[in-house]
Amino acid sequence: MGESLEYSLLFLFLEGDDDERFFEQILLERFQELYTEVKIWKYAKKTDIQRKRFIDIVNNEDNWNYLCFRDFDSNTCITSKKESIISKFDRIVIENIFVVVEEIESWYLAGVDNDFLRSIGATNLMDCPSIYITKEKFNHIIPKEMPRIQFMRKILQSYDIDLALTNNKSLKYLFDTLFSIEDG
Amino acid sequence: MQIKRVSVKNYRSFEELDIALGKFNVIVGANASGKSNFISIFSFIKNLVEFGLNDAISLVGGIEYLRNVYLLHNDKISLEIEAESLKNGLYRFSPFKEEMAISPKKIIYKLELLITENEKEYQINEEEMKIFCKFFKINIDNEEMKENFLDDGEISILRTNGKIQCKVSSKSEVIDKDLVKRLYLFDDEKISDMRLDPDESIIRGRSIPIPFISFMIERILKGIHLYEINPKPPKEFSRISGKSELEPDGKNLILILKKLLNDKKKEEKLAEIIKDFLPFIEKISIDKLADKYICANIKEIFSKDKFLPASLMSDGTINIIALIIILYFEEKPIIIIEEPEGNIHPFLISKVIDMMKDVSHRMKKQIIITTHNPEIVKYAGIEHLYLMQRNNKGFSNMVKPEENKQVQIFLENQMSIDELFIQNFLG
Ligand SMILES: Nc1ncnc2c1ncn2[C@@H]1O[C@H](COP(=O)(O)OP(=O)(O)OP(=O)(O)O)[C@@H](O)[C@H]1O
Ligand SMILES: [Mg+2]
Repeated sequence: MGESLEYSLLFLFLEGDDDERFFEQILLERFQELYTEVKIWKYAKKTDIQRKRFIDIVNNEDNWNYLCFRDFDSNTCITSKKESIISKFDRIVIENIFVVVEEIESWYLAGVDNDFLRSIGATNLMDCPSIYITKEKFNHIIPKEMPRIQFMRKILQSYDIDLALTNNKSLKYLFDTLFSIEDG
Repeated sequence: MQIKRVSVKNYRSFEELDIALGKFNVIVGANASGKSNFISIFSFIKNLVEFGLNDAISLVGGIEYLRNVYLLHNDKISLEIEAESLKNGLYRFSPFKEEMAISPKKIIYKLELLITENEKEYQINEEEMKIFCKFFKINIDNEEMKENFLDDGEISILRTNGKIQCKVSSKSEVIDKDLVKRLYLFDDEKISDMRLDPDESIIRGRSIPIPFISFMIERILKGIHLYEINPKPPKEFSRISGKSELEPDGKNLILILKKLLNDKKKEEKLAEIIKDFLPFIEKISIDKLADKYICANIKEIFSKDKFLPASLMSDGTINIIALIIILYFEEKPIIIIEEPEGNIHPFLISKVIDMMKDVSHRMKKQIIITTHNPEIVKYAGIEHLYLMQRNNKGFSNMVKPEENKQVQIFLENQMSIDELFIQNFLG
């Protein structure tokens, strides 16, 4: 509140709208406890030059910081994923990269159980753990008549973060690194 | 005249707003952030001047929605507008045998409404008109009129609880009390005797002292014109009779066109600008249909003699023609346009902005627009931008991105304004 001596601004580099929705509802408040101001920068359609320039700007300002979130997709290991990000973003600092395994959809599903999903009409719930869900598989479980946005919002409304942390290692890694839960 | 400052309290989505305006003003902001609410301040004032307070309030949906619905403990709505003169217009009047004149430099109009019982009744709690001006004495020598500067001063009319007080003062007191009497045939006593109905504005009150002050303020505020063009109605047959100025939604565009095309010079001026935007348009003509109807026809360069009816004209063509008419043909000193980009290809937007800058900077008309268009944002330039935002209590406020430190850093580092706009980084 009021004038803080240590003003700090955090940019969350997110790929697109699904990521933004997840962060705004589940994570934003936690980031706001750490930084005076938090802004989301959606990088999906940006050119390499725009990305590079943006990172340069943030790096140059003393109290500005950024965290980049990127889907794991098909890459084989996190380190090589991070390397591929570095090549795309140039000048990005590796410590500031978080990889979302497998894709943001897995972070959505991590916070609810199959009973809940069934209760909102989800179909084709497969046996593979939610962590490996891809966009295509996720779309497959959405009830036919339900808009994708509504389905995602229903999940976020009943989101159980503790469950999510046990279900998804990449989300847990983020929490351990940034919001280290002391009383755990 | 140009609106220099607007402030409101407890008005629509605003708890409190006080904003200075320039010659060319581009208002951006999220959906439902309050841009149209802001614009409605001007239509409210214009309606107040044209139709009186009661109608002005019903035209915006009644007093219960004029006030902010979340501020129910506050029973006052206030509104203040400050305008400045760019020209040296002289208003002459003749008290007794003397010819005098004033040249207004700045005017201020203030209105405070009080909402009384049951939330549906209201009255004017306080109202004030102030004119900062130069006083002149007019001498006529050999049929030649000469104005001699007397003094800088101020005329104000204040109404509290229905009572009216009038004050004239000048810097070096050349204009003294005595002159007030001579000017208006009132002495102070009599003036304070005047009473108005609780819902009668002093702007419209013909019976108030110094009527020409009301007249002047009325004229200035009537100079405000608001537009939000709908391209569909002009495609239908238009009536041959109607208003001689363009309607706010442009529905009488064809009739206005007809008048312009009757004048060779205007026709040429219009055709040149249209061709610059839409080079394939060779000619527009207006045909009389039945008794009372007219219809526009358009000839493209692709054909020798075939004219196409207005119903086949593209939406963007109509929007562009309407914009050109608003900017260059309707002689309105204060032009407000909601989302002028309607149906216009991004490629042409820079030209639209060029016209707006030409009109506002060179021709000294004031322009206020709202937009969601990144090209408009880019070409308008940061110095002309205003951002409307809502705070966590739901109240709207308006800021200048130019003054925002973060925005400055981004711009210094080669990020473009439209990029910041799209990214929501202007505030
Ligand atoms: N009397 C009122 N009291 C409180 N809030 C109001 C009042 N009147 C309007 N609003 C708020 O203002 C919003 C509408 O704002 P406005 O029409 O100015 O948006 P806008 O910025 O023009 O958006 P768009 O770009 O979508 O046209 C409403 O959604 C409502 O929240
Ligand atoms: Mg609007």
